[in-house]
Parts: sequence; C-alpha cells; structure tokens
Amino acid sequence: MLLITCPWCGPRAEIEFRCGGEAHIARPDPATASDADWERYLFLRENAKGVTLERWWHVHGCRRWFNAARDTTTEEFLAFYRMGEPPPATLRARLGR
Amino acid sequence: MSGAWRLPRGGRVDRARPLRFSFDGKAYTGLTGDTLAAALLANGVHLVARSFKYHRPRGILAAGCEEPNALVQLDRGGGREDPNLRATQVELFDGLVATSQNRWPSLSFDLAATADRLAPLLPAGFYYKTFMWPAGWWRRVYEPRIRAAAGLGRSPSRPDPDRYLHRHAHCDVLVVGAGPAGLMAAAAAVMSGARVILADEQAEPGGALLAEPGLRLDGMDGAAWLAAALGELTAQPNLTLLPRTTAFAWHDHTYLGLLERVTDHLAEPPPHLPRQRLWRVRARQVVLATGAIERPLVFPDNDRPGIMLASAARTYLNRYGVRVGARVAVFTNNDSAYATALDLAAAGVTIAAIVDCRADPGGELVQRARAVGLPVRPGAVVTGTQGRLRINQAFVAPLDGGGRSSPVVCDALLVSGGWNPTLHLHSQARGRLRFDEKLWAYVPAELVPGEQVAGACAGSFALADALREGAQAGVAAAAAAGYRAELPALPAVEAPSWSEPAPLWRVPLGRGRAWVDLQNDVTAKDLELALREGFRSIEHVKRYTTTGMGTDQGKTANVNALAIVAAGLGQGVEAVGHTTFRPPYTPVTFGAFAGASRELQLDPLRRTPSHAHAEALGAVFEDVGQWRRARYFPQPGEDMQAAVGRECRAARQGVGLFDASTLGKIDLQGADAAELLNRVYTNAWAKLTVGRCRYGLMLRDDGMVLDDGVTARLGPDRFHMTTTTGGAARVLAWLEEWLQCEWPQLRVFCTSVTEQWAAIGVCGPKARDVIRAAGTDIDLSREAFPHMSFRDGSVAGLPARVFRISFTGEIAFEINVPSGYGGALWEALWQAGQPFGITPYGTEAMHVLRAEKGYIIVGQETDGTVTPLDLGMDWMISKAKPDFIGKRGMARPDLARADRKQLVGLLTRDPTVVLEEGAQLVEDPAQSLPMRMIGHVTSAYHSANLGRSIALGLVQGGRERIGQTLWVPMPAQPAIAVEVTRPVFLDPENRRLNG
Amino acid sequence: MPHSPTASLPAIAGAGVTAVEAPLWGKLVLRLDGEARRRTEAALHIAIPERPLTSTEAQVGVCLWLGPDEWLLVTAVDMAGEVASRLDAALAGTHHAVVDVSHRTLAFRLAGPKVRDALAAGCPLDLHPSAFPPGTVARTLLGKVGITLHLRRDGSTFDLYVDRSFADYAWRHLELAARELNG
Repeated sequence: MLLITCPWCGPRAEIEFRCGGEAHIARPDPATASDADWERYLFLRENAKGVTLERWWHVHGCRRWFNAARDTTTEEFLAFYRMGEPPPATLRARLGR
Repeated sequence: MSGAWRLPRGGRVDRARPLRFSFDGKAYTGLTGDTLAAALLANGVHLVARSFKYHRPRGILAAGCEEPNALVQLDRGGGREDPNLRATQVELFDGLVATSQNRWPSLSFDLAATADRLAPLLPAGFYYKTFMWPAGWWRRVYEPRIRAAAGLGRSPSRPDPDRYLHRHAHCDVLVVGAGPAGLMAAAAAVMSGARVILADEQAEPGGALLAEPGLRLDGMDGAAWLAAALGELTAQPNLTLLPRTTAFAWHDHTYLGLLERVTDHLAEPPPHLPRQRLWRVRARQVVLATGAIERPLVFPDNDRPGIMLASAARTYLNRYGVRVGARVAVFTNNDSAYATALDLAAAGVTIAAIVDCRADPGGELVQRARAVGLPVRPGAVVTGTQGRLRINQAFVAPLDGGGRSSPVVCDALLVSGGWNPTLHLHSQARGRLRFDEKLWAYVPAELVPGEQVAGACAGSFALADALREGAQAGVAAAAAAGYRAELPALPAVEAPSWSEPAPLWRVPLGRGRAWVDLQNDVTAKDLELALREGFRSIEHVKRYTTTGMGTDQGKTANVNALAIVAAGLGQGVEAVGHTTFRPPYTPVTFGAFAGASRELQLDPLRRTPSHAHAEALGAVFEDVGQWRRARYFPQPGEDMQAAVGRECRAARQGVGLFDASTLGKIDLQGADAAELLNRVYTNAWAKLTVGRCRYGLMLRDDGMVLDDGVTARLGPDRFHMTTTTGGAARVLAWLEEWLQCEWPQLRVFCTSVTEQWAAIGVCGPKARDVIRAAGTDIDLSREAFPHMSFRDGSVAGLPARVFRISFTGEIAFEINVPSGYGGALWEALWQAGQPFGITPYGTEAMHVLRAEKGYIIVGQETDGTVTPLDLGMDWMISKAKPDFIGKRGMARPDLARADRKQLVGLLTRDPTVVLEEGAQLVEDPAQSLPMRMIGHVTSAYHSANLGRSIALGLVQGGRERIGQTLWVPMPAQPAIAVEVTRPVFLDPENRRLNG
Repeated sequence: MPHSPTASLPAIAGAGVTAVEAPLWGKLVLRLDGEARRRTEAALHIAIPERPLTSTEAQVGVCLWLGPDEWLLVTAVDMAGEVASRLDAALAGTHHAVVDVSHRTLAFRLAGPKVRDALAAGCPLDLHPSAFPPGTVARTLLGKVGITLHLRRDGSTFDLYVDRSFADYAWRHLELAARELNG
C-alpha cells in the first residue's frame, strides 16, 4: 500500500488514488499527426526500470490529477508536482536527462 | 491433576484453574495458560501427527510458530472449524476439541503409512515423472485419488459464523516483538512522546524472558522485572499494546499487516467482539525485535516423536511446568542447549548424554553442566535413532568417524543446530541478508528505510546486548519520526554468556533418511537429487523439492537446506543465496482479510428510489454492477418470458412505468460547456437550443465507442448530460481527466448529479393520460412539448424536470424529481395509472423494447473494439468539427477496413428459437473444425410485440450481407439458420415517437 | 417527506459511539474561481476556506473545502434553493457553478468516545487529534465507498457525508464496527 502525497491533501493511502500511467505525453495535433504518431500517443509507453514520471488521480479525495516521480524498482517516490508543471529540476540527474 | 508430566510447581500456568480438552476423542486436563502442545506434553502425548507425504509418526518439535509437525484441526462448534493450526500456538480453553490430521483410521495406526515403505519410489518431484500413462487414467483414477490423499487438514464445510474487522492505524513507531529488545525500544520511543504500537504474537509479552528462570535484571528476577516494565509501559497513553497480534506482512512505505486474535482463546467469546482483527498500520518507523528461531540438526531418523528443539523443551519446562521426558539426551553444536540440560536436570529429569559435535566445548554453560556431573560427550554426533511412535534410543558416534556408534536410551532427544534471526519482515521489505560466519546464520545486510533492528534478530543473542540495542533502536526510531528521544537507563544484567557454534549442517555418518523440511517431508537426499538432476538455482531447488513451501514457510528447514545445497555445489552458503520471503509470516484466516466485506457488505448494494415499491409488486431483481434493478414484474403464474412479453406489449399499447434513476447525470456549467461537448461527443452541440435534448455518442481517442446518452441544454452555459448506468462514474472521470490534464484553459465545471435526481419513465400511448391524472402544471401536448425537449414544473405535487426522450420508440416522458421523493413519485404515478392499466416494466423488457428499435446498448453491442461506423452510425459523426476525441483515431487504416464487424439484425428461420448472446456466426455449418467465425450475437430476445425472436449481432461486412443466410453452430444440436437484416425490427420511420 | 435510507437499519447507539442520520440539510457544491469566491463571501457572509482540508462556519452554515476550486456549502433544511438563487444573482458573469446536491448527499452525525475507532474500521485516514484537528474536512473512503468527513469545532462530533445509494453500505459498515465499541 503505497503512501502517496497529493499536492493538496498531503500523504494518503494508495487506495484513494488511481494511477494514470505515463506523464507528459503530449497529444499530437490530430490534423498533422501521422498514423505512427497517433499510435505512439495511444499505445506506446516507456515502462522504465528505474525512475518513471507518471500521473496519479486522487479519485477518493480532492479528485485532482497530479504528477509523480517513482522508482519502479524500489517504489520510492522522489517527487510530487502539480498537473501542468514540469518535473522538478532536482530530478534531472536521476532521470538521466 | 493436569498430566503426569506436569511439575507440582513452576511455570506461568495457573494450577488453580484446570481446563478440560479433548484430542482425537480422548479427554485430558490442562491448565489455564497452556498451549495445546504444552497440555498434550503434560499428559505425555508426543505422537500428534502423521507427516504430509510419507505419513510418518511425528511429535511436537517446537514451542512456537515455527512448529512444522503438530498441526491440528480445531472445532469450536457452530461451523467454526480451523484446519492446520499449530498446537504450539493454540491457547487452551475449557472444552477445546482438537483432532489430528492426515491419518486414517488413527494416529497410531495409519494405513497410508505404506507410503513410507514406498518411499524410494516417491522422492522429491516424483509427480513430474509419473501419472502420465495411460492418458485417460489421469482424470478417472490418478487425480481423484491424489486429491483425496493430498492436503493436511479438512476445509470447513459450513459458512464461517465469526465476524472479523479491520482497523486502520497510524503510529510513529511500530515495535514488532515484546521481548527484552522490543520492550526497551517501546520504552525509549514512548518516553519521547511518539505514538507507539507494540505488538507481540504471544498472549503474554516478554519473549525470551518468559522461559529463562536464572536471569536477574536490576537485581530482580526476570518475571518481576518484566511485570514492572510492562506496568510502566502500559500506563503511557501514547502506547498501544497488542498481545496475541502477529505482524505478518511488511508492505511498501512501512505499511504493515498485523493479525490480532481477539477471542480465539475464549471458550465462550462475547458476541459483541470480532473473532480476529486485521490491523493495517502505517508506521513512520518500524523496530524489528522479532528474536530468533532455533535450528534442528540434520541426521538420520531425526524426525521421531520425542525429538524436539532444545529451547522448546526449556520453554515447556520453565513456562508451562512440563517435563518432556524422564530420560533425555541432548545433541548440539552450540552452548544454548546446555541451559536446557541444566534446567531439566534441576527439575529431576535424567540427562542421558549431552552429545556435542565440537571437539572442545568450553563455554560457561558447558562448565556448569560438567560441574553438576552431566554427561558431556564432545566430538560426537547422533547417527540414528529408534522408536516408531516415540523415540527410545539414539545412536552416538565420534564425529571424526573413528569409532562405532553406541546406543543411548532416552525418551526424548533435544537438538540444537544454532539460531536463525527471525528476519522475514526485513526480507519482505526487500531488505538484504548477509551470512555471518561466526554466528553461522543470516543477519541483516543493511537496513531498509524506516527500519531498526535489535536483539536476537540482529544477531545479538546476549540479553545485555538485546536490551541496549532495543533502547538504541527505540531512540533512533523516535528521532527519525521527529521526536527528541533519550536513551533510557539500561538494567544491569546477570546472564550466562554463550560461545560460538560450530557449523554442522548435516551429520556425515549413519544410514537412513535425514529430514530437512519436516512439514513437506523433504530429506537431504532429495536436495542432492535436485542437484544431480541439474538444478542449480536455489529458487529451482526449493520448488522442485518443495523445501520451505509448507505452511511453516520452512522456518526450521530453510537455512539447513541452503547449507546442504551449498555443500553440494561446493560453494559458500552466501553464494547460494536465498529465496524471497513473502507474506504472511504465519497463516492468516480468509475471514481476517475479508473483514466486513462479506455477504451484504461484500460490495455496496445500491438500490433505486422505487426499490421498496418494486419489491411490494413482486419484482424479480438483477444486479447491474453495484445496482440492484428490477428485471421483470411477474404476476402469479407467469414465468420470465410471459411477464416480459406482457410488459413489452403494455409499453407499446398502453402505458409502462420504469425506473431509470441509475443512469448517470452530470451537470456542466461554464462559458466553455458547449465547447467541451463538441470535443467529447462525435456530433455538434453549439447550436442546441435551450430546452432541447440531443443524443450524444462518446468515443475514446482510439476511435472506439466509450459511452452514449442524451444531453439537454438548460441554459446558454449549462447542460445536463446523461450517461449509461455503468458509465456514470467513468464518464465523469473522463471529463475531469481531459479538463485537468489536457484542456485546463476550458472554463467549465462538471458535477455529478446522478443521485440528486430520481428518474421515473412513463411510456406508451397513454403516457400523457397518466401524468395528467397524477397532476401536473406542464402542458404535455404534442405541440407544446415536442420530442427531445424538456420542461420544468411539478408532477404529483413534486418539483420536477420532465424530459421527453424515449428508449423504447414510444411516446415517453422521463420525470426527474429530487431523489428523496423518487419513491413518492413512483407511487403517485402507479396509483394514477391504475385506470389506464399502467404496467411496471424492468430491465429485461427495456432491453427487448430498445432492441426492437435497433437502439444500441454500450457494453452490449459494443465491447471497446467497436466504432460508430461499425454500428452504422456515421450520421452521428460531424463532418464540420475539426477535432473531437476519437476523430483522428477513426482515421486509422484498421478502423476503415471493409471486413470489419458491422451491426446487423438477425432473424432466426424458426421464429420460436431465441439465439444465445455471444454465439458465433459462420457461413458454412458443415465446415471442418476450427470453423471460421465471422461474427457474434450481441443481443437476443423473444419479442412479444413482433410475435417472434429477434437478435442483433456484429458480423464481418454485415451491411453487405443483408438478405444472406448465416448459421449459428451450437453444441449438441443442429446449427441454427438466421437471415441477416437491417438492425431495426419495428417502426423504422419512428412514426410512433412523434405522436 | 424525503425517503430515509437508514430508517430501517439497526441503530448505532451506546456508550462507545452513536450515529444519527441528519435531516436533509441543504447542500450546494460550489465551483468558484477567484472573483466568484470573493463575491460568494460577500453575498453569504462566510469565508470560503482556501487552506486545503479546512472548513469555516457562519450563520448561513458551514463551508467545507473539497478541492482547490471546489467547496460544499451545508445550510439548513430546505434552504439550498434560496441560497442558490442568491448566489446565482451575485455570481452572474463570473466563472462558477452552483449545484444543488441536497438530495444526492446524505449526512450521518457521529459522536462518542470511541467514534474514531468506529471510523478506523474502514477509513484509512489518521484521525488522531494531532493529525485531524477540529474543523478538518477530508474526502476519503469508508470501506469501499467515498465519503466526506468533517470534524466539527467541538472536536468530538463528526459529520459523515455519503451519496444516497451508498448510505446503506456506509451505515452498516459503521454498525458492524460499533457493536464491539458499544459492548
């Protein structure tokens, strides 16, 4: 049972949330996107071993969406940040970018 | 008297309160404070089980949760049966009824023990190489016989009448284990002001202190010090003490599962208490003070009743006042067994020999034993034993092989191969282990976040070390949780010291099977067999031999097995590695996990506003997700088909009454509300007039149908969206996700009002008559109230919003009132409708009526892989909108294929035959298997209005096949011929709707 | 009289914890941006709590924080319509939504020395006074259903809000936990 820190409500049990998959996936412009672009947007995900950026929804709380950085090998959360914000600068080293 | 083997004094049992119990039908007496195992031993009962595979006679090995043999079945009456309980952990109560398992007809004479004589044919993994021929015998002969022989206890046959609860708990420091280390940790943490939970699996806290008479702490004896320490601790308001509570699981982020046995020890549990409680604890910090478990030694015939762990014998003596034998031998590789020998000797037990594999044992306890004249035999090992139902001899020989074995007469053999720190929780938390070659045991390699370890579980077996480490761990944990903690004063300790064990993983002498895992009947030879057969990874060896896979998780087997495998591979123990510990540490009842989620509370049961009224009318209900909805309303003598037929005819010829409250309703408000609708629906919304309704189709971005419903415009910036029943929460979530994540600039708010409104539908030619009879200020006439519009007003004296929408193809009004008045509205319409023959109808008739019109149901005609074009709904797709969710998805080549499945109608050649939903369609029923399936039936009913069966289906290239005959193959009957038609069977021009 | 889902359910009463289904208070979901918030405060003479998980009280009722732009205003029985009309007038032209959910959402009033233990049988929140002080409001779970929990200013009375068709399940969950606490 993960402990997830909602940016508004604070730390809460995992059962109050739903995981929304990989974060920062931009919806391509439907007018110009190729089939490959659209397929990538719909179906292809990184599934990183290590630090992953993902979306979470506080469905049984404030019902806000937010982002989180989680290490998939240890379940450690490294950061929580609001929807629409970029990942915190402190993460860049861990993300290898 | 509570047994011939009970000492007149001593132990923590209450001789003034005897208890009656029975084992295998025989009556015995025990004492309050006994475990079942202690009480049996007090009565001289050692034979308590037959082993899993070979049905070998087995006795009690241990005194705690590590017990592999003594599994019993408990019957607490009233349907409360528990198999596979460890007799060492069953607290005795008056009237306890226990039986042994896995033997027939009795423990002392078990026919299945022939398996033991067939042992050479039944080594580890034998079932991978046998029972394959002949093929037909597997189902008829092998499987039923093996199934009957397998297993240990008997599953309960009646529902569990006990209640169980969960408790969510939060604390700063969770201390697991209330022995000396845990008590000091809790004391240190609680004094800092931290919120502390202290849990111990035993009924009495104290751990090792409960079985050690010779200790002195701060000048007091162990029991007195313990009582004082507990008194101080429990007086603190920020401490929660949980005895009889096993921490069985360590999950992510220091979330632990604890099982509290609330009433299992009571002869008559008070009815207001739950039987067990599952504590779901989120701790900031965890201190593991879980102690250590003694290892047995591996030598030929090491499994006879009467062969016990040395520390267990000491516990039975000091805690329960029970002698495990009259003439006892001891076999050890370390000093701790000498403490047992000394205590037993002082209680009048004859020590026949202390066999020590070490050539020159010299520790304090060894010297004391010699000083009182106990027969120590260094450099020697036990090479075999005798005694079928109880040990009567052990054979002792020099370890170096330079001498013959000599017999030692004994009625108990107490073994000690060293100690394993109890680190299951640490391992569950992904903590790694390190093999220590001084202790010859696994200890924590490093700590996981939030963890402290102290005492024997950290490899510190001396009492003074345990106390000090416990205090330090408590301080560290409290500090890490943000409290200022100080080291408490440590008691001055007088306790004997131990010297190091010598590794003896397997006695290299003697003949006969040497048992490693007693519960699963795995021998040293089985481990060697696995290695010979080429298994190298310990994960494979474990699974192939089933070592450690019993209900005891190999607590007394694993490390011996690892070491034997290491020797076989010529590697060090650490190089072999170890398998992963998984929860639960000890078995947990299903009831505890279920908690309150059973029967009526298994899942929320959601009822509609008309439920009580429908019940009163004799409705038959069905579950639609979490909702319980009326399916049909049979009158006396009607079966479902008759009732549904009558309801369908009434809805089209008279007037029907239907509860539609479960459909989702979402309130949308904001300047961009219409824009949002344009983006989520396939059709256009900007120009919908206030007061009008429109059907909307919602897709996912891959082009597949997600949901549908009618949406009404309440104002320039306000809409009332409806969804399917099952889609209510999903669609609101969908809208929120897009608004928050993709379109945060859109100014629109969405709020669920599904349960704010009850929605009762009145449909049919007499619908207006009924509503007028119920009383309304709304002009229901055709001119004033066109189809697909709504009006606000009152109906039956209730504030109402009436939608003129129809899912049946008849004139219909859906009357929405605040949900608290839904029942009253239903009743008022029912009464007002009596003169018009008003007929309530349920979900079954609703399905038939809409199918007659070819209206899809999302989730029935669609399954997440169906597009609007597949459904023939291209008229719903706006050509002008530049983008909406799903538009680009539909343009993918796969979604434009000509041979995609398309929605069609299906009419059976025989009109009385109703197809089965899900049945497959083929072109040629005579083709060979596997047939080429070209479609399936999505909905099928008998239609009373049409006097014949109808069906809808999805068929490849369906629209091109209209007029064709296809076939529906069914098992054990001829294939059913169907004609492909357009998917509408009644009033295709919708004339009835516009009346 | 609006239907009460718990009227026929076993009572929760005793020395440990009591529960009573509240009358059908007026309830409005308020979605407000900055300007709408200011106007609401002026129109209703109540502060709209900005800090998450907090509440305010005034003559019109209580205002519960549900999200960064979402509040639940709870007023007296049958007052929701009037308050909503007042707000509609005051908020014209701002980005807002006012939705009457008086019938959608029901309330239980819980009290008693063991009330937190009863809730802990199904609620994963830390309800210790140090973590959940008076005035705190939180949306969370009770067993399998979503609830809104509000600890009143007296520090010992909880108002539990649950949607109508989940009320039966929520009540029964509390009742199962209460048996032990009420002896």
